[in-house]
Amino acid sequence: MTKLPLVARLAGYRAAHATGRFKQLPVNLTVSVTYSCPSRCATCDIWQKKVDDLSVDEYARIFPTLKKVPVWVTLSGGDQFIRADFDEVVRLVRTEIEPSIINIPMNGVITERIFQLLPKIAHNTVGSQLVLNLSVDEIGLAHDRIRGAERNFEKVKLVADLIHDLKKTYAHIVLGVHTVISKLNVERIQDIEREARAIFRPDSYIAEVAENRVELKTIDKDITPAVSDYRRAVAHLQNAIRAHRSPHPVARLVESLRLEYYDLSARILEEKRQVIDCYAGWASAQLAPDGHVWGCCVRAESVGNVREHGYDFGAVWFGGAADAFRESVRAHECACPLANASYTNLLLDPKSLAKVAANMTGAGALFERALRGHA
Amino acid sequence: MSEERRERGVCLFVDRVGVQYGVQSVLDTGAEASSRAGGSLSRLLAARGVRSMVADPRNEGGLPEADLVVAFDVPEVGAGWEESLVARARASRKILLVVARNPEHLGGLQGSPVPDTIGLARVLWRVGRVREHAYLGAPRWVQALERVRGRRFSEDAIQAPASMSVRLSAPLHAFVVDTAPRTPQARRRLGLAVG
Repeated sequence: MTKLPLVARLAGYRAAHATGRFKQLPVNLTVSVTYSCPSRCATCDIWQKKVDDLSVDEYARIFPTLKKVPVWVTLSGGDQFIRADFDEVVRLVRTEIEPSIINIPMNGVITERIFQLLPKIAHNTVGSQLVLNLSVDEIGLAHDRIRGAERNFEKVKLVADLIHDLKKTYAHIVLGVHTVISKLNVERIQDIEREARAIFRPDSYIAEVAENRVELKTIDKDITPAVSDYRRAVAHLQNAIRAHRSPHPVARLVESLRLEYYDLSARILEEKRQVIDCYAGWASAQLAPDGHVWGCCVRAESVGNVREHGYDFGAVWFGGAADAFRESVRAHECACPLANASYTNLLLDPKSLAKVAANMTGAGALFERALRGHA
Repeated sequence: MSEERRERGVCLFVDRVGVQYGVQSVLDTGAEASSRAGGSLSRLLAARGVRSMVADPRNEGGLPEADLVVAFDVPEVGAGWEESLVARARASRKILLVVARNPEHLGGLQGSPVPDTIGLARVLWRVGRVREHAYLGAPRWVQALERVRGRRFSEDAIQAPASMSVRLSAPLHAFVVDTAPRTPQARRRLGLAVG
């Protein structure tokens, strides 16, 4: 099957958003494979949710119905490595969806399973770019306390070493480090970023604000930092990105998106509105571990379950409940700084897209410097 | 690059790996191992008090064990190349070192086909942990270019991930595979992988 060029697909999403017609399958898909997790993070209670996870056989029926449309697939959890068959799920994503980028956030807790499965995952994803994002919320014991997992920081170091070794034979692997910025660490982001870069030597370092999400059962948690503190933190991260541009094309794309995302997320927190149109429900989607389809994980509202629709993702996606969700998002009834959805939102906003493109080429930094010089 | 310089580079690489991992015995299993037995590699190893052996993996009865098992000039694509590597991994107590023709080398079209790096990696990651992947024998001007780019290396061995110019110009590449798992679970897994 010939894939529609991404630019044509993006134009289609804009048309669908404007008219309510010409709907397409999502280009950005998150597949959460389990809620189970050994970590007890201060910023996440997802581990409390218990559901009947989709099996590999069920994924083998669902993924072909996505018709190879998703370009960016994130495989999240819980802790995906709790599943002994996680490598099989990843293999199916590669063979049945063929995305350009497969993104796996990792907490590095179950090291034995990670050491067992990651080489297989590396081999089975050849043809896509495999982004492995290690969660690092603090340095040393402070990280273990935030993540609620003993010796976690030391284990993450072991996993980072393994990924560096895998990169020697699998050139499609990108190592990322990811920090959740919460009230617990916002004052130390400068040090965390600097030390994490030195310790883990990632291709890219990114951060996302801790927010109240239905998926994570954090609606009532007081974890989101004050906007002024967050602004200060992301200003530092933007400077750090500009100072450490990665030569790796995928890492550079992620950095270019992040440069814009940090500003966007701060504005959303400040203004509590959709600063640019959100395309969750059009261009981005999430498949929950029990087969429910969501427009996004912040609202985590099911628009149907693939188990009740013959494992046909499209049957749920193009149904009435999904239309109602889309209408609600289009009416700006919600606003959030979710990074994953923001990526596609940035690509679908012409002004933001131009800035991202400028960031990719380095022209963005020149422009920034010129502005600062002028000021 | 002359054959002599290439062989010297490979020998220095093997010697450095032996020193780094503290090996006391080396088993050479590749093609022309016997002719190499009295050569520069053996002299280097003997000078360090390392016992060196030679064996043909096609012989019945299996290979003798050694801390470091070296597989030169292999594998070539054909029936049994994967099993041949696994047999050598079983014989190594610490390290399996595989030296193969670089399939990306622009001048390397002659001779029998070799597996691509991904194919080799799949087998090597099954039998242990690939600690190093190095390109050997890149021309001096390519090495000079790499040094200008700030890369540091020795023994003519440039570690992966390497630039396009290195990958296209190096006639050989080598893999250093740690076959000494440190936990009972990992040992069990390795047993499963090679069983």
